Amino acid sequence: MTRWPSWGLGIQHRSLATRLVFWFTVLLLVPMLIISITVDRVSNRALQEDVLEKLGMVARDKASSLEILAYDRTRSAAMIGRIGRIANAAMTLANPKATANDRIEQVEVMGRLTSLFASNLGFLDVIVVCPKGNVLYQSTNRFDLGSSLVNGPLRDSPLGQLVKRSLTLLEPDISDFDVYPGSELPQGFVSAPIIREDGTKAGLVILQINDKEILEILTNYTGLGRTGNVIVGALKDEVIHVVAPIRGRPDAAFKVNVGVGAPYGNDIQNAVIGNLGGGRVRSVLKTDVLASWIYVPSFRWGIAIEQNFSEATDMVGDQRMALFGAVAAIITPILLIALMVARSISGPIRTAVQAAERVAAGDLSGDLSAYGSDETSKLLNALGKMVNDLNSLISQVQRSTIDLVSTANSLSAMTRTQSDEVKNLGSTTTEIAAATKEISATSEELLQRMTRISTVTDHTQELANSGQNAIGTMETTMRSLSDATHSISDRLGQISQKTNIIGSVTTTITKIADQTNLLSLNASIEAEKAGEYGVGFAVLAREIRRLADQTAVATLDIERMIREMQDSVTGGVVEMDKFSEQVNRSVSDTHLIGERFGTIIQLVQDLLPQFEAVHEGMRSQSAGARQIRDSMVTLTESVRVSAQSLDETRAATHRLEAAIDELRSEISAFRLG
Amino acid sequence: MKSSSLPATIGAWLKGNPIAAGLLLTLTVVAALFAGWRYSHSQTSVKIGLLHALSGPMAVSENPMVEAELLAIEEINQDGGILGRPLEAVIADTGSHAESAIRKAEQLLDKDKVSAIIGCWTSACRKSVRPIIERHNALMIYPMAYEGLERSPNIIYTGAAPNQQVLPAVNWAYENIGTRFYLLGSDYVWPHAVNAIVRDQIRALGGTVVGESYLPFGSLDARESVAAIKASQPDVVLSTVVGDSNPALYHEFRTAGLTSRQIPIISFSIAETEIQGLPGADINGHYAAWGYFQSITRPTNQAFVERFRRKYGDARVVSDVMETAYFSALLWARAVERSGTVDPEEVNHALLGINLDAPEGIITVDPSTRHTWRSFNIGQIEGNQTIRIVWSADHAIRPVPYPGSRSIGEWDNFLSSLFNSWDHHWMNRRTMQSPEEQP
Repeated sequence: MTRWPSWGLGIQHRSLATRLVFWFTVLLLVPMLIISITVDRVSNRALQEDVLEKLGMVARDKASSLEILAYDRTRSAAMIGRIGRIANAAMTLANPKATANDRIEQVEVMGRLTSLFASNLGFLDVIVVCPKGNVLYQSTNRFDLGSSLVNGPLRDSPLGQLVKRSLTLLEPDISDFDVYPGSELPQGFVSAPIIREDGTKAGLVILQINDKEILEILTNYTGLGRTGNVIVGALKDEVIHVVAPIRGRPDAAFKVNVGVGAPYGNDIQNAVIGNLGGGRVRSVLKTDVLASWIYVPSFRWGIAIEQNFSEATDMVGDQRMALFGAVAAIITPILLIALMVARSISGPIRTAVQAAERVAAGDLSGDLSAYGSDETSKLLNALGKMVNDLNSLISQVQRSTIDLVSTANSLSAMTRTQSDEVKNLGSTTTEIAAATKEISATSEELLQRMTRISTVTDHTQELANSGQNAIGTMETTMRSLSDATHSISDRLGQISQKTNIIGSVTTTITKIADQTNLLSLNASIEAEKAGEYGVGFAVLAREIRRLADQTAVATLDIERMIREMQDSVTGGVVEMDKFSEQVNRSVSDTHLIGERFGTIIQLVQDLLPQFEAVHEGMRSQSAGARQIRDSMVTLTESVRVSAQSLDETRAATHRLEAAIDELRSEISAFRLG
Repeated sequence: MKSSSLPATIGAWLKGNPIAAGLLLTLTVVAALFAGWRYSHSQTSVKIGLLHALSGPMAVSENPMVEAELLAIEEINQDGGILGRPLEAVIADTGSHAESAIRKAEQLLDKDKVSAIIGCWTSACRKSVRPIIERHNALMIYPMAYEGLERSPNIIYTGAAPNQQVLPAVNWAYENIGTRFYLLGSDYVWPHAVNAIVRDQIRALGGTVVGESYLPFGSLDARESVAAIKASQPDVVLSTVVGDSNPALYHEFRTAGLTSRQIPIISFSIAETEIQGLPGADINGHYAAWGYFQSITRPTNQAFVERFRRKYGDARVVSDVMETAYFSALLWARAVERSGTVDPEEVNHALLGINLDAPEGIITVDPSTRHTWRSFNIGQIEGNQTIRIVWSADHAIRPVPYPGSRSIGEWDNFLSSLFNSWDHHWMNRRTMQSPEEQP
């Protein structure tokens, strides 16, 4: 994807609509600008060339009119110079020997003829000179008759130069224009040789050009607009003199000059040196003009046809305005259309963006449906479907969380209960342990007592052996024995009671263990349902199950031992009873002891193995009690471990609850529709 | 081995950006075509033929013309050439023979395909070449003052017509020197025609022609004519002797004891260049009549002489034919610029009415006569081989190729009778002596 330059506008960060409109505008404006500028320049140049061509045509037209006029005048002058009577008159007037009358007559002839022809052929004054250049005749009184135009005061004037030239060239010629004393307007002359019929020359006729027609040509500004001008100049010694009036300066003739090389008047400067051309220049009047220039060889004039540049390129200004207007007129609706199109694209996208942002913020309640089958509608529809799916998913998760929470709650409750039970068990087992300790102690005591009894029995035997008069002591002893056996019976009864309790307790424990097992099974199942959240929990549940199993096994052991104990106790009780009976019989038979000392001793001797048996029984009981105690210790240990595990379970359950809470809080951020 | 090389990178980029690649390709092709067109177009030079005598009796006069034309061509090329193309000169040597001129003219037009020819000095050359030019509808500019009496639609005459050289000279001589004239010329069409014109004029003035004789073309022996001059004692000799005959003439003149003060010779043929080769003693005090002299004080002229000397050497001098040849080339170039093409017909038309600031003054090609408005001067040869202007018309005169003394028909008849009497040549070969001078 190409990286476009941003030209400091940060375009790629602006909205879609803005970018579309921006690039559209660029795409539209750039070619339009290029075209407009090109068209403007081309048309500007074309217009200028057009104007220059027009000016050139005017220039050529005027030049050709002037050439025709010059040719016409020179032909006319030549023709006048060949009029026989004029030639004769000139001959006569030049003849120093001519009489006054002849002179007067010839002057009159000259006057009549010349004035007739001159005025018809476009001339004003007429001067006739002899072949030496002396004035023979003049229609107005300019000079002294007979004065020399070649050597006189006018010898350096254009008139004098004309005469000098014409006398040698013997051809019609046109003088430079100049201002002569006696007149304010510039005058120009045509000269022609006066040729007699035999071909000899009789002098020179000089005719002042009637510049009315020339001025008409030069001051005709038609086709040149408001500011068009005709500048006519003649070059003399590096200075160009304007020889005819200029528009706006009727007195310009021989008053307005331009030096060769000046930075203005370039058109007339070019014209007077024979260049034909045109271009944009500064005129003699220092204005900015389009000009066309041409040279008129007959008069040796340069003519510049000018038109103010601003007027000439007026149309360009109009065209520029029109172009600008057209561009503006085109741009505005197109931009609006572009904007509309951009909006139609970016609008749905913005809706989609907003919807996505809402979803991102957690609000799933919006409805996104769009009509149409273009890309943006598809986008909106897809987004809507996504939101709906998300909605249902979140709802599902919410429900599952609720289930999870209740499960966690019950789990928590159960573990609490279990914990309590385990605590109870713990205390009970402690009691049992205590009881068994008591039992053990009692057994020890018994044992001791038995030992003592044995000792006493021995002693009794001794006594019996040694005296029979210890029967009373024996009787007492029998009595105390009977008491002892009673208390033993009591104790055994206690033991039996206790073992019963133990039995019930172990039943409870078994029940608990079973329940724990069930629970852990449940927990496993729930854990599975909770997915990854429940993995740890499943592990815990497994451990709990295992503990429960261990507990069950331990309780079985306990039950077994209890049964053994109970059997022992029961055996002991039975033995006690038996003993008691015997003792009672012995008591009742004490009287008979005397007689039966031997029997007693025998009996006592018989007692010894029984004492031994009881001793053994006692020992084994003690051992059993010790075993019970040990088992109790183990059980206590197991219970403690159980309690620990349960604590851990509880902790895990708390963590599960915490996770569920998190999930719930996450989910609660969503608003469902 | 797998590192990306520059061509590979470029290739990948091109593949990835087909539009850019296509644009680039189009631009390259267009640019190449355009450059090729411009190059080919700009390299084609425009050819102009210079048909002059580089050998033979007229070489002394025509060689400098070629030099002047080459100077003009150099200046044209410096200014950007002809319509942006370089201007190339194709020089053809007429050998001072009319037949060679004809052949060379044909060669220039057919083989070299020149756009225009500037050529000839003698009218014999011009009149011989004229049918070729007209047949090819080509364009020729004839830069030499001559007898007039001609108006070919394919020739522009930039040299003086009779009313711009011969007639004023006669008038001036009549006014300032004397009324008895001797007419001397080389034996070919120009001197004969000039003398006919002059005769009419002298008669009109009331003068006298005391003698008329012709030196064989290229002849180095003027003794007979000089003797005739001496015998007839004119006030002034009007000379239309050309080329190598001139040194003989002036030398013989002086040897015969005739001085320029006694009998000045007004020559319509010698100018600054010929004078350089003539001993001062022979020529001092004699006159020449031309539209241009090197001594004309115009800034344009001074600059021109300077340029010529910079190219060809400080010792060089410039004469009327050289100046005419020079501005003829410039006129042609200007006409080409004006018409926008080198096509001879178009340029021919564009030449009519053209003005130019030539060294001598502002000249104009007269549309009606196809001749050029030119000034007129009488110059006297001075000691240091310069020509001092003694009389000047100051500005250009309208050309009149057919003097009014006879009608055009009469003039044409005069010319054709000359032509026929010379066995359809424009020079009198019968009087020519040495075999190698036979054309």
